[in-house]
Amino acid sequence: MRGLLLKDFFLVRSVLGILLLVLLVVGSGMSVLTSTWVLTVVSTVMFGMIGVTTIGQDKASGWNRVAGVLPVSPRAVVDSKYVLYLLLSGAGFVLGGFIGMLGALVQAQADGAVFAVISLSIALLSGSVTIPCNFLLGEEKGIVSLIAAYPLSTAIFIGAAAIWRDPLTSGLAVLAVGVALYLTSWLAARALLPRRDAV
Amino acid sequence: MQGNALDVKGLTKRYGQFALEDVSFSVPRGTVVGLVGENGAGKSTTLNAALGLIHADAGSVELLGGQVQDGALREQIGVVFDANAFPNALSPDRLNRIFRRIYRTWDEERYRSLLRAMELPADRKIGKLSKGMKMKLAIAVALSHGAKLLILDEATSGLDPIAREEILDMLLDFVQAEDHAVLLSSHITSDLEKIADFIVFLHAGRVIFEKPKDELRYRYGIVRCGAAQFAAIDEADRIAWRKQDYEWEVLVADREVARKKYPKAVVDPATIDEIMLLHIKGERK
Repeated sequence: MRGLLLKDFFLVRSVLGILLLVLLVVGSGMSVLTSTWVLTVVSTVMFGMIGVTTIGQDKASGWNRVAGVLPVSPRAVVDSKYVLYLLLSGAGFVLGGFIGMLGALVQAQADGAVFAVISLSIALLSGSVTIPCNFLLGEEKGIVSLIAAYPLSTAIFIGAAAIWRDPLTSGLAVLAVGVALYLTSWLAARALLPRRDAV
Repeated sequence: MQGNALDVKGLTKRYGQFALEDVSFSVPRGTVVGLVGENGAGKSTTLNAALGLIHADAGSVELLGGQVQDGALREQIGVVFDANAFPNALSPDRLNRIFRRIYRTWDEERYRSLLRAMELPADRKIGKLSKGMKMKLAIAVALSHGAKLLILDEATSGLDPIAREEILDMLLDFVQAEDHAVLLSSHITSDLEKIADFIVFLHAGRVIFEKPKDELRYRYGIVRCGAAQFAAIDEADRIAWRKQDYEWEVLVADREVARKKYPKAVVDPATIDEIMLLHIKGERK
């Protein structure tokens, strides 16, 4: 799986540089206007999204055929995408958290823990939908699922916030659902996707 | 080395209007087998099913004595697809770094020596390589992990004659080892006439014949004759036939026998192209 992850890293590397630059610029601006902890959510979501786009890139380049004849199991191919999503979302989370922390040092900010929970919840909820959708659907519909998954996740979060008044409690509840959904999605994908034709 | 590198038995796959029906053939070790057929005949479907990229509805495939799902066995199978299948953002160097983490048998030295021999720039993005260079790169990858069976899907199509010749030479070198084998699908039959030992002809999802190339080249013939002579040819001698503007063309399995039996007719050697055309465009028994 390390080789598959390295391939994806090469694919996303150039985009990550641009994204990093955007986050630094936006972060600087936001530090004046609002809480920089918001960047934790933005960067976690954006980094994860880049990981998902590699599924479409594999289809477009024909790599999915190459992967189908490599000495790795079809499950490992599925696993690599779920792991990549976690790694990239995690990197985005750490980066956003770091920028948020810097902002908090400059001036007092809203509660970082709430934003951290929101970031992870939205990333996991969205990933559990967009990863299988990008495997199953064509490139265009896959992008639609990307666009749709994040607002949907946000809506779930808002719904939870309406039930539990405390934002941190509702965030933790959604996070638990997100973890469960992500694991379910992963297990279902590795069981079902290899049964489909690779081309 | 005994046995076949690839045994395909009764392979069946149905897609809407198209069906691959009961396809069976073998690739003996130490040989090059050419899979020929018109566009849409089922060549790629056959190869994809043999490689496990699509799930067959029926039939079995044995590669190097095992099943394609076996990861260790996949180390010994080199595959070249009809078009570049490596992401354009990668380079030959990066492919090396990726594949040495995937193939336990990856031979970096061999890969680099192949890149040099093929004059492929290691650091250039794949998207900036020519079509011929991309195909050579795919072959370099296929030859760098100790493959014993090479499967190439239309690897020479769209290439200029020089690039094609170089690729065919590489395949001939590869198959010098008696435990190596090549399965090459192509509709450029002249390439197969140069290097193939056996020809498997697919038409409309079915195997029409599987024969040694030399039998096709040195024994098969085309009888060219008028209507009266055509009527006089034994039905048992006719494999396929068609009426042209001024003559009949009849494919026969033994042109020397046909020359003696039908002395008034012209009997020419048959190329693989002509054999294919007569099967596809003509009538058959």
